[in-house]
Amino acid sequence: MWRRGLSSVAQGWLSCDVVVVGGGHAGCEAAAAAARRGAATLLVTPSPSASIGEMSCNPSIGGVAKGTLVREVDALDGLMARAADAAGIQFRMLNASKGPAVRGPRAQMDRVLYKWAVQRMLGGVPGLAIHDGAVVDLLVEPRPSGGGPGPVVAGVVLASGERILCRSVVVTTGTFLRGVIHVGSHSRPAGRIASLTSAREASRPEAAREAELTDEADVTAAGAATRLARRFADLGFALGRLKTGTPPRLDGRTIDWSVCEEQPGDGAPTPFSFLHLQQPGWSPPAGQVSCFGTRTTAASEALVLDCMASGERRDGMTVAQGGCVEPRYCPSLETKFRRFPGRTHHVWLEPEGLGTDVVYPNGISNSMEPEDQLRLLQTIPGLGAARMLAPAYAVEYDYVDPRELAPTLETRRLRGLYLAGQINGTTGYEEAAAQGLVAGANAAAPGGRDPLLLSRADGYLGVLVDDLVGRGTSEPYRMLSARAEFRLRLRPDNADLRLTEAGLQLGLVGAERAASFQQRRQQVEDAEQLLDAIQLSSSAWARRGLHVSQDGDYISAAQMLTRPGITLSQLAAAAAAEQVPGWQQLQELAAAAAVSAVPYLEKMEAEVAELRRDEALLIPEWLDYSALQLSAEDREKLTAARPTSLAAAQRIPGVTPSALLLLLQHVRKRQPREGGGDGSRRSSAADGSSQLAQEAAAEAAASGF
Amino acid sequence: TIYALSSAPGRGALAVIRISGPASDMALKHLMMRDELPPARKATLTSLTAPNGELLDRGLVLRFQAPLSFTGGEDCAELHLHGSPAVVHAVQDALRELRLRPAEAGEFARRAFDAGKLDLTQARAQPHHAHLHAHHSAWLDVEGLADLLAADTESQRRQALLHSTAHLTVAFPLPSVAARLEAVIDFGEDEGIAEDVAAGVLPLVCDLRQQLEGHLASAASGELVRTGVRIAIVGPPNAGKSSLLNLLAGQEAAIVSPAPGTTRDVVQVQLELGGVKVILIDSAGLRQTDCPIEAEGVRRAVAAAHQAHIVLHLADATSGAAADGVDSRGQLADVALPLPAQIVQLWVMNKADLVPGCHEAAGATVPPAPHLLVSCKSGQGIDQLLALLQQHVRALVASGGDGGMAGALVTRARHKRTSVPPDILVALQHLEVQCEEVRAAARALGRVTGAIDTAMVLDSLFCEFCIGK
Repeated sequence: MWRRGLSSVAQGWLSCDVVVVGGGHAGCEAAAAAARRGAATLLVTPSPSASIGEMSCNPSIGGVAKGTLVREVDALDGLMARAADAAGIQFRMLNASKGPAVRGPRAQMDRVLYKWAVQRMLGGVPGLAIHDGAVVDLLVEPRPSGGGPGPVVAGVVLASGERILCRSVVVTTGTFLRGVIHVGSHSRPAGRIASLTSAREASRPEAAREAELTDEADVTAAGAATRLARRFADLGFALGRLKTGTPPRLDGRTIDWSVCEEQPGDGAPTPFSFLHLQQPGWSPPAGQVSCFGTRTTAASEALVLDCMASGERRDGMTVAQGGCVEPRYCPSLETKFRRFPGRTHHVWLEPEGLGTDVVYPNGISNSMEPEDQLRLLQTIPGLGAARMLAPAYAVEYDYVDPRELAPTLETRRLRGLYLAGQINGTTGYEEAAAQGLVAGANAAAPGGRDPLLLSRADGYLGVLVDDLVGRGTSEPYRMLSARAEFRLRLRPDNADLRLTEAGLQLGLVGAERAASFQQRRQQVEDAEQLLDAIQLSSSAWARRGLHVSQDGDYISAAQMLTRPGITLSQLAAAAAAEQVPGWQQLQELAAAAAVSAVPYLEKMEAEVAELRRDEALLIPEWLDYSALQLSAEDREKLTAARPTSLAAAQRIPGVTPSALLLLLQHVRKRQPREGGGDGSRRSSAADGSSQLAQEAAAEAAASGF
Repeated sequence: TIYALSSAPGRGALAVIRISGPASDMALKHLMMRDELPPARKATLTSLTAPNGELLDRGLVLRFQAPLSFTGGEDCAELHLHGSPAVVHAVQDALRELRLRPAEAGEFARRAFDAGKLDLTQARAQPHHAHLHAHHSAWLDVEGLADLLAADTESQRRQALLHSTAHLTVAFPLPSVAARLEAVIDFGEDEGIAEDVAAGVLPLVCDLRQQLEGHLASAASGELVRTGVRIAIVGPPNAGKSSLLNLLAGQEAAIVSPAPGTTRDVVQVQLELGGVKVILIDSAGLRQTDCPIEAEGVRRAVAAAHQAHIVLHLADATSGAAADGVDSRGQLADVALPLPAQIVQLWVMNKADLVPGCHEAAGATVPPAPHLLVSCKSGQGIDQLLALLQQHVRALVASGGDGGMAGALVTRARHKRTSVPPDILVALQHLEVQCEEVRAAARALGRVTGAIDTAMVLDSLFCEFCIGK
């Protein structure tokens, strides 16, 4: 079915609205989002059926903050959550014991199922065609017909010589820009080794065949991306170099599981997609398995340090010591032992799928010689006799300084060119998908009208884009909840209430989700009403063990929730015992537990209003800072950062209040006041529980919380 | 609704507190203890009262209704107070109790801009306007900007604090505290970073708070040390105030004569007491008078008393009133009271040598308690008086006193935010809510020391924890 979708590419296409280069997580979301907004979209990638939806690194999706990103992509009708639900073989809610804002849905994936799910969904997107090819260059129109500064993209050139004219191009080439893979002392240009990830020597021969196809496609892609990289350099883009790694792959049949610690999934798996959350009794379609854990030993440390001392590369450095920056949250084993000597480190053993015995030993990525890697395995309990199907490797690649981008992810240098994913210096499937969705949605909007612009207060999507375009990054950027200052608002469970309405307005959300969303919004409103409606006298609450001051007044469940230490389940139990009408429904309202954070949320609402006001104050992109009477330091900082709004300018470290006031004055001159005063711009995608929060907040204040 | 001291911090004849926001009128009603508002745009002389009923000051109140106000979109008010730090503190405390909050740097100007009310060129101080007109208009803007910011609350305070707190960012473990909490949230589950790591943060937070309070207090007393402790000698005419000043100063600073009312103006002498700079102030005797010159002297004496850290009430032991200390105090009370509670008040009786039977008692305190009998002529009791003054001066400097207005304002304004209440860390069950407190503290501290941003927290996090999945 999906193959037919892919093969029905119109060979004669000479022009379309949007071309998406690359079929990874960013490319798929970009192509689907552009098509959902009505743009005639073409996804170009070598051997689509082999490469689309490939998981190049760990077989897992979600986590703290990352899971929220997946939910946000889903709220805007993206693909990732639905594909992950279809392919998940172990679901876990991280931080389940903590508050709802920091919970992180995560699942281990069956690689093959995931790939199928993505390809099936892409095949069903109207207006989206997929083309087997490799983009090697951009067509650039130096002087646009419509005016405006700078050159404009006009199309792409394929390796075959074909030219495709289009309005916008989204480039999502991942680690393929001048990618170099190091396995021990051997290096070769490539972005990944797919046959590692699908395991040539696994039990399913057809999977091995597919992996080889992917490898062939990757070789084509690598050659093409290198030519593309040259083009970027010629256009004057600031490029940097990053490094990341992936561990060896093991044959699960040769692991001694009995000495490893089992980590089962949740008893009641929570899906990623709101569409599935809306289906009562949803359960994962794929079979469920466990992960396992073991640890490195002192012998592992000694071996790695020894190898580092002797295993110098020709240029005198091992990759771990090399010139590029590796992510601090995903260090190579060499780095771990060097920086934290005398410790043992976790090794998580993750199955790569149901139909394969390949195991991904998370936590021991390295770039040692393959024979040293084998010796390393022998020092780790449970892996002593493990067969290594493929060695670990490190990959170095070019990225474009994301400060080259506007918040739409369009480059400032070349209009109509959008970048998403690892090419912007990020890491992770979720980060890539999120950017892909933003870039695709904006690439589809003709003339930059109705852009998808999300603020830091709207979601992790907004934080991600704002961090990238505002501050750039010097290591592969991973989303962390620590980066979100409005974390308590940006819960994974309310992503749809925050974003779907905006998606509907932009035509980014399809009919099925629109219907599901209306239903869900109704339920949330009902829940709020229910919490207000369920009332017990203070003595009745006390009778059920919830002590409140005995003034004889009736107290609603919403009010009770604002008291520290009181949980929804306690309330539900009390309501059930008292047989208050509606007690059954109360038991289903876990999400509303967030109300205990009400005083903080209230403070945040004020800050959010302020932020939105400053975000509305747009600074013209080509503002000449030298014409303003700024201090040299302010001018230098502002010129380098080119903030798009006053809010962005405020976040530039070290910019003085005087400079901000001066900017404000300048902006005001250009942008006559709209309405004035505060509160004039409330979010259209307002938090559905804010009314409840406000009411409860009033109560909280009264009770001296 | 925000407020800020809009006149320069420190001592002056007047201090102006500006208020802006929807609760301005409410605040005025409460301060004036009246239900009806004063007329807009007219100066109204009124008593200002704290929510607990305590009289704060008598001053002028100006009310501005939106949009005819400085910030345009909002109601504003100005409180013109006596220029004493103690009064300003007390009024600010009252405003905070009424749920107003201190303004951020530039916030008034920002609000005025937002309302489209203020053009920076107009906002410039008028006297300089013509002078600068020849310059490029953008330059004018910058000038105006600087003025505005300077007048607009926190920048002076920040200046004052900057050098004493510049090293704080490094010295304080706040990024590390935040890093531990964030580590448990973001990586706890995978990396086995348990919640006891977060619990271990509590002592750090307490320690941090202590350090911070220490720094703020020293910033305040540092200011006090710089400007000097002010001791005003007040009392009825011919009590010997000038004699006492001359005696303590060891020089003929003030003209002394047996005629009551000799001293008309305020005489200041700077000296050192226990290693601390002290400004000793002599002033006209307090009495009702028809002579306009003397009346002005009395007015200045009262003002000097209000602006002092220590008021030394001097009475004549031989006068009839002196037989009863209450009366000699009452004499002052008629003219000068109320003095703010923060001012240290000492009661001393002079001319002990002229009181029969008092010789042996000289230097000893006589009931009621704070009275000290001295004689400027014989020198009786002067050593004890010096010791007493020195003791109070040292206590003032140690506590930060009220003279370090800049520091003290910061102490007060920031106190709630910079000091993370440990009880919150204990009381709330959810780590991310606790973490929100630390983030707020980091933001508040960042306003003084320079921002503590996510990158710093992450640096600290990855230094301390091996994150490896």
